[in-house]
Amino acid sequence: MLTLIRNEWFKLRKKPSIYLMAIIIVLLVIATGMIGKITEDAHSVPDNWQENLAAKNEQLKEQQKENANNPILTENNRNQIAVNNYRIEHDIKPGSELSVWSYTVENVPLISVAGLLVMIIAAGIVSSEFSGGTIKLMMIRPAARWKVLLAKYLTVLAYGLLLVVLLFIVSLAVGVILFGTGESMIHLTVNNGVVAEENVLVYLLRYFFFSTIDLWMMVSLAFALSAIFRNTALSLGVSLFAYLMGGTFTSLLAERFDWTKYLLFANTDLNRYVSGTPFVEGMTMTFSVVMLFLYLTVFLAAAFMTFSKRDIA
Amino acid sequence: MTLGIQLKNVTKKIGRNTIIDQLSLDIHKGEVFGLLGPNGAGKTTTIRMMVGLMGITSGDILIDGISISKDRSATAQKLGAIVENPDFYLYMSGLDNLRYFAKLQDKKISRQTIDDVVRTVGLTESIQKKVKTYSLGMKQRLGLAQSLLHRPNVLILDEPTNGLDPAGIREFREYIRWLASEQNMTIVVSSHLLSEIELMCDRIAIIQNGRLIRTETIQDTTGRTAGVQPARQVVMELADSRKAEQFLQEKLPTLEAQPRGQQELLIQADKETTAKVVHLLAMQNHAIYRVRDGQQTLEDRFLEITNEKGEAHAHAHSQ
Repeated sequence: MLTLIRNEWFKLRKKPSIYLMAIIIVLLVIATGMIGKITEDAHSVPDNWQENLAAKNEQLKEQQKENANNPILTENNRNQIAVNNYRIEHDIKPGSELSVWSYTVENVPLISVAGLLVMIIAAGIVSSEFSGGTIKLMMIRPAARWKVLLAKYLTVLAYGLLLVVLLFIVSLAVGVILFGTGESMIHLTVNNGVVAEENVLVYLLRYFFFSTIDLWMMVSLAFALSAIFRNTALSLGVSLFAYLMGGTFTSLLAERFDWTKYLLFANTDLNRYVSGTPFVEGMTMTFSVVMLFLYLTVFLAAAFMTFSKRDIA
Repeated sequence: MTLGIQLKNVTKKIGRNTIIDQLSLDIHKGEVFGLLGPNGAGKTTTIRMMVGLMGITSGDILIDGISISKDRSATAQKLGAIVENPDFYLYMSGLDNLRYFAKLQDKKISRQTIDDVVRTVGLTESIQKKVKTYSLGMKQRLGLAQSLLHRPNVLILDEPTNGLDPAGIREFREYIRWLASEQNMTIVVSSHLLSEIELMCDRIAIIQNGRLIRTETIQDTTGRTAGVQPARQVVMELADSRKAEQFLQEKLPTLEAQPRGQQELLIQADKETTAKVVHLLAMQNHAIYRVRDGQQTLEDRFLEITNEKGEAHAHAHSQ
């Protein structure tokens, strides 16, 4: 099994595109760092920040009356007020000055970019063997088909993990160089109007990990489609469409239908359970983890069953 | 003695279509076996089942006595194959491709072995180049190399001479014959080039509409032993074939001669005998109009057999 995975790496390593993808990630991180540095002045916090926050809270409370029939806005405002009060009471300056931590948090959306790149690899790793005809020379050898497929899947995941780790490390490095380590290591997490202090590094790692789950699911989808349809363009197209549109569709549906909670995209963002609100009321972290697990099982089961049984023509 | 390859009532159905119908074949060790048939007869399907790319609906295939449906992994270790086009990873060098496929094998294959095989197929000079720069002939050579890396007992080659130049074809043929006779390998070759099969194989099977039409040795088919120059069939056109035959029976009792119609006489003779026969008949003032090679090639035989059966088949259907 290990040999098979090493063998997949061997082939992947010979492709220039995987280095290009890594370079894209590094360049994007550097770009966000530069932009952050240029706009840094705008973020500086005035000395009378307590008064400002109090004023902001008054304003928010006014809005609450108007928002009475919009639960999401009400919830957001309530959390915002709670955080502001907590800052005033505990004398914690708003963390809006850029430090390596806040900068790295701002880079989390880049995980989606890494996701897109890994999906390209995932969509091609099985189907390209078919279109290139090399699948024949692979499958006449002793290794069982499911092992070959598993090796490919693990290789894709490993590459995805590598890109995310690269993103994380380069973000930290660029952050330290451009913005320094900052004054406090405290991050305020708010849930249901209750504010809690958390070590920013713990917060960061969790945020990164939870944001990677989305990537994992979409890469698995692209991989499964690739194994089932043996067509790179089709698997990439379908999974990219799902990736880009899935979230939007799900939030539209979530406003009307309760069953939306069973959809994949209602469950991919676990950050909602730590800070924020779930898509549909009553959803819990456990529910989402179970749903994610079920979706993953379906994707992979379909991929392994078709790949192991199918005649290779 | 176990057979190299044994097909036992192999049937393949895809949906409602029966692609291969109750096909049984015994292929011996050290034999080069040709698989012939018109397009769509089921040659490639048969080969794909032998190498485990396609499942078998019913029946079984034994490779060196091991059942492919019970232990595909074990049979895969015993066989090497080229299936249709020699497709490789174009962005990698020939050597990297071979190293990759070597690692997919269960037993460890040394760099030395890879180099030896590369030398054998004559690719040493270009093995470091990327496969996308290769010609079809070079890819065929690389295809042969990957099939031999793990020193298999059974070699299955689907259209192996596609794209080879005439010198390459001869080299390939001699190598295949050497593998069979000296290494006791069992070799199955499918090809559309019937003259190729004729020169390379010991025995052939003709498949049509998924059924085995017949198996015969090349000797039976064309009167030639693979590689040996034999007595050939010669057709003589004469004024009176019966008279000529009687005369020849007296003069050359060992000669096989057979009249065909009023004016044609078939004889089995090498060059010297033919000259002698012509001389004897001419001396007796037998009028000889024409002497030509009446050798039946595999092509003649193939077309004859497949046409017969094809017509019989069509006939049976129309009723």
